[in-house]
Amino acid sequence: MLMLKFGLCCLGMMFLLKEWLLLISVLTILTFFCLTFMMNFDLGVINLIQLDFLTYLLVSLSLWVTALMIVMSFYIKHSKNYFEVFTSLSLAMLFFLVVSFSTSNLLMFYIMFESTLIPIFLMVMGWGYQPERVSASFYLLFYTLTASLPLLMGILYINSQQFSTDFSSLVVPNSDYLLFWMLIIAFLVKLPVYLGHLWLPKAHVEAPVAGSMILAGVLLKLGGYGLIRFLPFVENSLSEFSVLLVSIGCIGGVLASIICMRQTDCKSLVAYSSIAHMALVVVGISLNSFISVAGAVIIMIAHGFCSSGLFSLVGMIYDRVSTRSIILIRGIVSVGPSMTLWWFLFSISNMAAPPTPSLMGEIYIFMSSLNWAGVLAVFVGTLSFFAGAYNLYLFVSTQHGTNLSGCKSFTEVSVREHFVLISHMLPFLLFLVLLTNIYS
Amino acid sequence: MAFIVRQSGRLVGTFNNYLQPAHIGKRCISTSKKNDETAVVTEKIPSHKATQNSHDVNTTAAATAAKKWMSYGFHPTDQYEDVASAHVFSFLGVTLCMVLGSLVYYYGPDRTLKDWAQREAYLLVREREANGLPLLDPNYVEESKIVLPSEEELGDFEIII
Repeated sequence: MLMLKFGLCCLGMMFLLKEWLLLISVLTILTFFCLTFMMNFDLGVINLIQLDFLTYLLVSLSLWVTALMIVMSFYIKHSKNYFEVFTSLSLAMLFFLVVSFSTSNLLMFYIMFESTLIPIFLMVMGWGYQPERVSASFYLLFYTLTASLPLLMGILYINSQQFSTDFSSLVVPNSDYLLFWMLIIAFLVKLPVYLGHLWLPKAHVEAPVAGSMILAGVLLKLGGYGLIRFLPFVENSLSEFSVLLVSIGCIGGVLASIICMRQTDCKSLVAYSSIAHMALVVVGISLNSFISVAGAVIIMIAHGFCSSGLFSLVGMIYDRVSTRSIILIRGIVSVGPSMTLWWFLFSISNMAAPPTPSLMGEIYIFMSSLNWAGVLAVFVGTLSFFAGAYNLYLFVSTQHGTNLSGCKSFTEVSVREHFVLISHMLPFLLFLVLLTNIYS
Repeated sequence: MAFIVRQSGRLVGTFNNYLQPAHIGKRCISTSKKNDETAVVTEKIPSHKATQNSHDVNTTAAATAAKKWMSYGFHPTDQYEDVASAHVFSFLGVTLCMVLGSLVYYYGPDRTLKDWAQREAYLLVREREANGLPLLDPNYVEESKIVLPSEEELGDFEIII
C-alpha cells in the first residue's frame, strides 16, 4: 500500500512539472514524512515492502538529493531547455530508486535497478555539455547492463531452485561459486570497484550538475545496497573470495586515490575520489563483520551528501567561469570568499575530518580491517593519507593563488546556492547521531 | 528631600540625550510660517515612484530598495516569485525538514525499541545478579536444547567454521 501510495504521489507530481515551486515543496514534505514517520520497520511479505534501517536511510537520501538536484537545475529552466522533461526524468528516477530500496522481491529489485539507467542515460545525453557525452552515456549504459545480465540469470536460477524471489524466504545454499559471481558482479561494477570503474569518470565529467549529484549521491549506493542484501545469501562462497574482494578494494582504492592527484578536471577528481570511497565500502562489506558493514553503510550515506555537495560546488564554478580545469580555476578566495568557506567544509568532510560521519565510517572499517589482517593497515592508511592529499590539492589549487584574468568577474554565491549547500552540510552533520543508531 | 529632587533633575538632564532617541522632537514636519497663517501639516502619502521633490524618508527608502533589488537566485527578473521561492524553501527545507524533523526524531516515540532494550538489559542484569547467575552466558542457547543432525542426515552438506 505504501508503494502504491508513493507511486500515485509521483504520478501526481508529474502534473506539477510546470509548477516547480510546488514540486520541490512536495518533495521536501515527503522527505519530512519519510524521516519522521517511516521508522516502523514491518515485514511486508504481502505488499512487497520490507523496510529496515538501511532502506530508511537510502530512501530519505534519495528524496532529499532529488529535491536539491532540481533546485540546482534552475539554469535549465531559465534557458528553456525542456525543464519539464528534465523534472519528469528526475521524478521517474526517484520512483525507481525508492522502489528498488524498499522492495523485498528480487525480480522487482532487478527491474528497478535497471530502470534507473534510463533516466540517467537520457540526462547525460540530453543535458550534458560536450560532444563526448554520447560516448560517456554509452559507457555508463553498457558497463552496467553487461554486468547485470548475470544478475538476472542468477535471480531466475534462484527462483527455479527455491520457487520464490523474496529476500525473506531465501535459503542459504551450499557454496556455489558461479552463483556468487553472477549475483555480485553487477553491484561491483555499479559501486564501482576499481577494475570496473572506467565508466564513472566519463559519466561524471559529461553529466550535467544534477546528473552528477544524483549519480554520486544515490545511484552508486545501489551497488552497495545490493551487496548488503545479496551477500548473506551467498555467505558460504564469500569466505572463499573475501581475500580477493578485500584486495581489490584496498589496492584499487589506493590506486584511485593516487590517480586523483593527477587529475586536471575538478569533476574527474571528485569522481575518482568516489571510487576510492566506494573501495572502502567494498572492503567493509567483504569483511562481513557487524562493525565493518555498519562502517560501509555510514560511508555510503556520508559520501552521498559530501560528493553531491562537491559536484554542486564544481557546477557553481562552471556556471561562472565556464571551465572545470584545476589549472584555470584559481584564487577563488579573493573573488568569492563565501564559496571558499563551502569548498573548505566539503573538502574536509570528503577527507573524513571530525566531526563528520565519514570519520566514523572510516574508523569502523579501519578497526574491522586491522582485526581481519594487520597488513591492511598499510593500504587503508595509504588510502586515508591520499584522501587528505587530493582533497587538499583540490582546495588549495582552486581557492588559493592569484586568480586568472578570466576569473575576475565572479558573481557572489546566491541565496539559492547557499540554500543548496546548507541543505547538504546540515543534514550531513545531523545524520551523525542518527547513524549511531545503526546497531538497532 | 529637596536636595535629592534637585540632584535627580540634574542627572536626568545629563542623561537625557542618552535616554531619549535623538530624532524625537528634533525634526519639524510642519511648514508653518511664524506670522498670521495657520499651521498646515501636509501629509505626504508614500508612493512607489520616487519624485524629485519628495523629502519623505520612507518613500525614498522604498524606491531605493525597488531599484536595488538583487535576486535571491530563484528567478532573475520576477521579484515576487524570487522572494516567495526563497521563503518557501527556507521554511520547508530548513524549518520543516531540518529543525522539526530533528525534533520529531529525537523526541518521538521509541520506534526502534532501542531505549526499551537498554532498560530491559538493566533489568535482566539486576535479576541475574540477584540469582547469582553469570551476566552473559557464553552459550547463546542452552546446550541441552541443541539437537544436532546425525551424519546420515548431513550427507555432503558443507560445514564451514
